Amino acid sequence: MEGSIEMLSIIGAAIAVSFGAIGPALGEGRAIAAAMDAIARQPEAAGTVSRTLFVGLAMIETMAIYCLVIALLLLYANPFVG
Amino acid sequence: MDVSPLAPDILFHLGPVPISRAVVTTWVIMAALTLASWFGTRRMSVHAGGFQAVLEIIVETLETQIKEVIRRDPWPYLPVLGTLFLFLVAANLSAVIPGAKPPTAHIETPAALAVIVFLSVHYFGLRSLGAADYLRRYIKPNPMLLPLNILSEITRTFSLMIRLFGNIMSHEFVLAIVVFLAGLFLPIPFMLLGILIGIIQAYIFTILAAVFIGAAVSGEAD
Amino acid sequence: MQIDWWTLALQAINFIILVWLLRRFLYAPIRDVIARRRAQSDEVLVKAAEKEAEAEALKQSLEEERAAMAQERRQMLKEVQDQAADARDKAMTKAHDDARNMIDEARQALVKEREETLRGMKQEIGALAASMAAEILTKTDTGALANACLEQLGAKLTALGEPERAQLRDDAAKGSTGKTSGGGIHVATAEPIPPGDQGRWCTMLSGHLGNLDDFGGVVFETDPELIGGAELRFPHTVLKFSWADRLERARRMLQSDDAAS
Repeated sequence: MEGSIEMLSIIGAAIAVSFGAIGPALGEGRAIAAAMDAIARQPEAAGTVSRTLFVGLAMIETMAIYCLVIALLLLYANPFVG
Repeated sequence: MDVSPLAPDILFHLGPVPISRAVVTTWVIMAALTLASWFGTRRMSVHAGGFQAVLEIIVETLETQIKEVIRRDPWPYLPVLGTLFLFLVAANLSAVIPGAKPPTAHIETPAALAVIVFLSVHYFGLRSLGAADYLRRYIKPNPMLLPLNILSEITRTFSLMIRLFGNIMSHEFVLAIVVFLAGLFLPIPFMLLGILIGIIQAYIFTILAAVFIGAAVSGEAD
Repeated sequence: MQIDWWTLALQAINFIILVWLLRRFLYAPIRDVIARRRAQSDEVLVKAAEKEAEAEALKQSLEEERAAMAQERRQMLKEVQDQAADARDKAMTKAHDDARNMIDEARQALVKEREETLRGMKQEIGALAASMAAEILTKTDTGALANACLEQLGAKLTALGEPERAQLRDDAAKGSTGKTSGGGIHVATAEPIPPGDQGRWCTMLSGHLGNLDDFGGVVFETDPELIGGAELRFPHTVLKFSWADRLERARRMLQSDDAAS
């Protein structure tokens, strides 16, 4: 089975990115919905809310980035491939 | 696309020391920041004018932010945290300059910064509380939690490093793919997004470092 | 995945150098200048506070001065008012005295004048009374008195115009008709007229009025109330030449004078 490790690594990278994107996507959706609600209720706090929203989105996105880093590790720095 | 985004690109060797592109970029950033500071504060006067006022506003904003997080006199922590923020903003935005690559897109620079944050947290904690009080903090709720506390110290530093590296690197990677796939103007929105991401990541990194330091100097578990 | 440890070390050292550089060139100067500015503003604040205190003291002293001035002014005003009140009181008393003197003088002058007037009137009344008394005395002789009355009566009747005389005649004639006794003309006197004189009366009357028998003759009466003189009484008219009448007329005149005055 020559090359099966490479193939499995590619499949693993794809799964990592795709499934790793689901959770942060849902989380970001919830966060943005809550922020919209907050801005609609309190338009005068829009500045604070949106600033906090951006920081929170970046933090949530970091989870997807972790998955991306794993995928890249698998693709470019796989320790099991020569 | 053959070049791995994870591999360092060594420009030249200075004796036995390999000098990577990130180090050169960092030197340029250091020179620029130092020159700007020197130029702005060369003729300090009480009645600030022009560039000095801009620098003062930047420093005072940093001071206010750090004060809000740490809730004590920010001046001892300002050099480390403020420099962290300024350097990270400069490094993350260096992608705007054509031909330059942000140093934070390679794992070494975020790692170095995370290590410095890790060390400075303990340095400030020890200096503020004394060795006994500071070490007692690790067995605070229960001695059973000592391994978990140590593990959280390491993981949070690690996540700090990976967060910064992953964001900037992935952005660079996505940008490279977009440029590779489609032409001339499509990357521009991604570049603008890159500016936003760079500033936000610098802010997050600095604020988290400030939170860690604040927790350490106040003797509270975070 | 390979980590270039050299790069990591170099970046850490770079960052520490950058911290030192920025502390040297950025944070320390700005901290200095902020401290300096704060000190300066504090100084300015202190100076301002000092100046405020100074101004406060100045204001205090000014207010005291003003209060003193006001006091002084009040005192002066009071003095002036006192003086004015004194002067006014003096002037008032003087004016009162003067007025009282003048009133007294006027009253005295009035009294004197009234006395003089009364004296003059008394003299006049005395003179009048004397002249009247003299006249009466000269005519007190009864016969002469009656004759004087007769003459006066004649003069009067002569003075009357013909229409009046005719009227009198008609009156006397009407009075005489329908009457059994007594005539149309009555001659009333205070004293009874002697029969010798009655003829003279009759001739005088007939001379003026015509035939006396047309009127039923002349009746002679005595009426002591007349005091003196005589009255010629027709049925509707009376010609009065009596003293009582004159006295009455004088009294009326006096009364009308009184009323006029």
